[in-house]
Amino acid sequence: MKRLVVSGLAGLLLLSTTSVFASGRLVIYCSNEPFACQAVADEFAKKYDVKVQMTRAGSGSTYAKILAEKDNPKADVWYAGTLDPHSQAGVNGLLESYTSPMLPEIGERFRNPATSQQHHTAGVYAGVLGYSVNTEVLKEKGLPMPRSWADLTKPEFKGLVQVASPQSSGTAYTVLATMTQIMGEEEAFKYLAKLHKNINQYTKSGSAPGKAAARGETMIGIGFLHDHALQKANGFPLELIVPTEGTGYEIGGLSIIKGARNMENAKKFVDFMLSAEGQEVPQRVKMFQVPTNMKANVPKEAIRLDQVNLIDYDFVKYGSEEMRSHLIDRWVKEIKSLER
Amino acid sequence: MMDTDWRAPGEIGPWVILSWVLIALGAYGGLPWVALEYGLGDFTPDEWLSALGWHHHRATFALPLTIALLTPLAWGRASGRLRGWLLTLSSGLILIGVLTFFLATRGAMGLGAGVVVLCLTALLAVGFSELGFQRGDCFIAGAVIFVVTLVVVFIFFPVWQIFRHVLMDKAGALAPFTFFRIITSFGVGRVIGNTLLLAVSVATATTICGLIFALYAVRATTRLRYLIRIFYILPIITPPFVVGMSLILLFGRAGMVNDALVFLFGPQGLFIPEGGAPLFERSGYIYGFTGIFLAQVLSLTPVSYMVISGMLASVNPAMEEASLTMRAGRWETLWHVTLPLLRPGIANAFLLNLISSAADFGNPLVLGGEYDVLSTEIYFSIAGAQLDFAKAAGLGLVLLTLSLTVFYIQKRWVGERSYVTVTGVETAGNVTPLPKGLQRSMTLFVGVWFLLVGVLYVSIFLGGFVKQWGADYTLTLAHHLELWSKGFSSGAWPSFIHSLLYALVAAPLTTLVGVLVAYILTRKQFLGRGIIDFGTVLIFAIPGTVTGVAYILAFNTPPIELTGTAAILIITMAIRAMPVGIRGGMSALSQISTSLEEASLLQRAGSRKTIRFVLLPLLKPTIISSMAYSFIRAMTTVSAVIFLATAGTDVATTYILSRVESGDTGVAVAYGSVLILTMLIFTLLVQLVTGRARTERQTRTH
Amino acid sequence: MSGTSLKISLEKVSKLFGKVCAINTVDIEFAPGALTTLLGPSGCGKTTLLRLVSGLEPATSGRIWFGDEEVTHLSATRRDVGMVFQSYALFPHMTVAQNVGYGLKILNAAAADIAARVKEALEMVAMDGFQRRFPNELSGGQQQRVAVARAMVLRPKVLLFDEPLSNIDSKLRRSMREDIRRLQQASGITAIYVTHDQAEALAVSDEIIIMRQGAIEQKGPPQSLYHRPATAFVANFIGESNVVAAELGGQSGERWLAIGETYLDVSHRADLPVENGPVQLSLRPEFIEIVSKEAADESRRTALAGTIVQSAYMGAVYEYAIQTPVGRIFTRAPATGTRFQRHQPVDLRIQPDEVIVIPESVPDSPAA
Repeated sequence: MKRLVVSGLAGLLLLSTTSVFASGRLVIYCSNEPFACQAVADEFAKKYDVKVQMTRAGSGSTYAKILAEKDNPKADVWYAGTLDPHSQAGVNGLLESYTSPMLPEIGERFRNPATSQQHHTAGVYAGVLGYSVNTEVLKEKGLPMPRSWADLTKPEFKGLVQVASPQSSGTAYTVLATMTQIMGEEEAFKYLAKLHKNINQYTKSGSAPGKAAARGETMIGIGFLHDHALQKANGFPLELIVPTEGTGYEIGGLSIIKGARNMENAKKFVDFMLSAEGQEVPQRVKMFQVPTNMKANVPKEAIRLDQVNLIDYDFVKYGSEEMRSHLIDRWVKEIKSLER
Repeated sequence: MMDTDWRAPGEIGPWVILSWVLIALGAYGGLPWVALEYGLGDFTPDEWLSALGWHHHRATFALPLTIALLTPLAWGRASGRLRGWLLTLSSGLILIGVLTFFLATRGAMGLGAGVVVLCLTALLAVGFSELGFQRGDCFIAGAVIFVVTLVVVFIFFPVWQIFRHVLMDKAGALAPFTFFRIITSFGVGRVIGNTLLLAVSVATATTICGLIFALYAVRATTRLRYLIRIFYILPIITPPFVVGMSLILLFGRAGMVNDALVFLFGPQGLFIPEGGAPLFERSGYIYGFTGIFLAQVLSLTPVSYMVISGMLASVNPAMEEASLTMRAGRWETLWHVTLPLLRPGIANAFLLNLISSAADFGNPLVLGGEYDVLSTEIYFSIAGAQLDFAKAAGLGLVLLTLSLTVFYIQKRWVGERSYVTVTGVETAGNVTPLPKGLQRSMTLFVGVWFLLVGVLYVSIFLGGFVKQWGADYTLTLAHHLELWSKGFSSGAWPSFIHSLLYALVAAPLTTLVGVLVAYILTRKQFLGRGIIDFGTVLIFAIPGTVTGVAYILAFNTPPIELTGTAAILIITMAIRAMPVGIRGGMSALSQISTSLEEASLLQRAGSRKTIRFVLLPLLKPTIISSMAYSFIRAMTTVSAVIFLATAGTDVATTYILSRVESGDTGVAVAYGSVLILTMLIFTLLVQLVTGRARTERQTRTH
Repeated sequence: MSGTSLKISLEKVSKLFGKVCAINTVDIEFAPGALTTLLGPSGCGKTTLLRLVSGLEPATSGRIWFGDEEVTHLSATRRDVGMVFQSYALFPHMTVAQNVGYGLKILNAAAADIAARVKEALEMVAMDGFQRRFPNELSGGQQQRVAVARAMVLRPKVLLFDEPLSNIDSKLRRSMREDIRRLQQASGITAIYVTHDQAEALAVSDEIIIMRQGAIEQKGPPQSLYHRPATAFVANFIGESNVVAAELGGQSGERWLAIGETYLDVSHRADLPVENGPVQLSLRPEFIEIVSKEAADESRRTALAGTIVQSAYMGAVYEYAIQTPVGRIFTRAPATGTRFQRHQPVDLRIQPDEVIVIPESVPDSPAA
């Protein structure tokens, strides 16, 4: 045993010394899908000959981490994940303000979307909220294709709809905020109460319903359609629906952490990720979020923003901590506890 | 021969003090004083240099100077206890100085500072022993102080952090109502209720099943009972949530059972007339209470089986024979004699599984659906969108209290004799057989159980080889290729290597500390023993999720900043596996007569040499088996490490779980099956080696 | 073997376990080179006292001296004592040679040195040639011999025996205790021997210390303890004894002991207390003769009348219990003589010279 440990430690040491001499470092906190994070980190490391450390975690826990490390920041940049936690971080003074030279190439509404409005965060991609329908299950049940948010509350879809719980998922919070913005808060909760009767499960993760729909575990899964597009591209029988009433969207945040130890590289990374070249990296690993750089190629699987009815999502209002906990608390109290 | 110059043994020679002083100076001079910014595994020479104490901060110059002042004490033969006082006070003061430095500069301790603290602790121990602590036995004094330090830093301090977050607000002022607010907040009552309901149901069911298995294994006359002996290995080598995953494969909405039922009774089913109403609809019945219950019963029954069968094997057959001679039938004997004799075992099994069920994290995470229990709720308070540390701490406190209460009842009520060895149970011959009818129905029960377990494990292994379970059963290697063929820096390899490496470091560490704790607890009486005693209780009772939360709260900020490092994972694994070492050590030590150690002491061997030459060789089998078992536990643990693993330090279980969470069941089960296989091979190897050792001993005896 | 023998002395030594007092302010000296036995019923503190001397237990108060050196605060490892345990305490994972050579190895002696010394020690206990055996391949007696060799191989200042023979069957015990006695005398090492078996104590000891409830009841050579017990407890513990109440009377030149109706003439005994009054007597069975009632007529005043209540055949002797007005008396008669039946009235002839008169109060320092 002893010898094993020793050789193991020696191995560790070897591993650590092999790649010591690169020009500079960058520590990325990434809240995208693991493979997308890896692809982006690898690409940047290769292009700029920078030693990259990447830590992947959901946007919620990443925010918590950054908050905890406030006095002694460990990370340099925070890439991807819904905008709200980025926004929150900006408001709480955890982020560095940076106006990237690439901003003119970015779509107007993505340039400075965060609550703080101080260029703490730039939108690095957009994701459209909607739902996908497993066409095989639909055929098996002999049901009509739903087209709108309202359709989902029809009694024939009882037990066939899946969505994440806003308690644990930012995606689900976007659903909550979107409904509130489309219908007003009171109507939205009436709608959610009706929808509740059709829900078979509130998942923990925001991307789970899309995957469940792909496998036929549920017929309808609500979520960001780029997640679903990936499943469809993998050959699952899904139809992606952008509800006719209009829908909300998420913006993937890209922020520099205040007090970053590798500020120059952090800025380089932001510039890179805002460039068309950087934004096309995730497409190669089948991440079909919509690029915010207007010059970037939009993958054919992605939903084109100009072809759908997007609401004017108020990131400032609905990204605030108060609104967030108000809506989630109300949802837990009024909707989650309802009988089905 | 009499005149040979033998050094007076047990004396604290100058070299003891000198070597600690030198190590401390060396560590100060050459090892990073403050934590390296990017971790020990990844640094540039410049970063290393700037982290060195003398480079980092001028105040640290005080350290080598004051430590050097201790050197004369090495030779000093000061009268009476003067040397003891000098040593104790000065090393204690320097220690306080170092800690103050880090608290004041809000820096994080580096490896060098850690080593310096260790050396100072050792010098403190020398000083204490000079003052007569542990009867002047410097080694034991050191061991005791070392263990107390470990317990304080890695048990009490983190648990205190939980209390702190519950009792105080962010500014540090007392906020006694936080806890009250948390546990009365909406939904928490339901979560606690859920946890209790689940734990009681699972404990009841596993106790009954365990009793059936135990009776069957020890008393039945069929061949099937031999299978039970290997049956307890499975859950040990299976990561906790893999059972849950396999249940999804079988009973999930798109699982095999549902497919079959839909095929037979579904909308266009075989047994449903054209246009008739379907008798069965796909549903997620497995998600929620049913699923968690089933998964926990499957994975925890072997525990109660081991506890009860250990008890059963120790029941004196004479009592049952006495009952039989008094004209009582086999049924009456079983009911009125055997079962009452098993009562402590049954109670113990019930209580143990009550804790295990409440503490289980993996299965509720995978199968919970909307059935929230404390452990998952704690996790999502931190990892989800809520980021509520106070809530996590509050819930953790509830879970900890629950678990401590049950543990206390167990200890009081069932007592010490319930320490179960993990080496399996010998079935004694010459015992009362089971009533015929009972045996037949038990055979059926056990048969169905094995069938279910068999199908579950087969589905895990197959699940890794089909394209998409539930939708597309085409055989494919894609999942395994994705895991294993993408080089050593991506796919499954990093996490797998991390798991192996950490577990390999953690296993001997935890075993040695565990055995040391067992030694101190069984052999030593001293002031402050209560600290270790209570620490052990906490180690035994603390649920993994609570450890996770506590460690996040405690080690995320200076002075001991460990999150994101491999060290924290190794420590977590070691703490999680520590009960194994303590239990093994305690039961082995209770079988070693203290007069052996005394004989050795009287042969001029100090306690260090006594431990080395007498105890360690005698404990060797225990040490090997608990090292192996600790290794397995470290490899399969998930509840605590999931809070602490990061992309750079992820381990097998957290990697699998992240793939489960993102719905890649195929990849997850593929990895899970490889992990199970690895563990299985490892277990067999260990058994082979220890088995050979045992036969060697036996042949030597004859 | 040579070696300077040391006097071991304990000065006001006490040992408390929690609040229980195991040894209560004991002052003793163990004579240099002698084998002193600590004898007493279980729980009397004799083993604790031994462990205080060994250093395995620290004394709560008082001081312990080995010769001129105070060892009170020295740990067991540094006291230089050898000990033989009741359970042998041989290391099961070491051979006989490794067991005996263990201490030498710890002291970094040269390998050849060790082998020679081990051989020498094993020869001493007649176990040479067993070097490569493991303890579990030896009989109990052989194991204990090895343990003795191990205790003596380092030539310690003190040898301690903690009931070394109690796990050995009775036949072997006799020869073992003689071996121990011989070895100890040859080595001249001061030895302390704990036992609860009075026969063993009488056989091996230069001196016996009788302990009772953590204190010393009496100390002296075996014969003096047997013939002159200071207390009823000692009389009962050493050998067999019938303790009865009696009254001492008469003037100098003509003194008597009244046991119930029976008068014993003790005029010529010089060792009696001066003052008359009630006393306790210890009557050893071997000094009580049973005679039949008829024949006892002329000695009416000097014999004790009684009735046989129990009689047992023990091979060489008969054992009888006789109910008398002063209580039940136990005695023996050779199996070659008449066998008395139950309920048979008999007379007991007591030899006045061998009657032990126990003073009412124990003198503070019994004669050494």
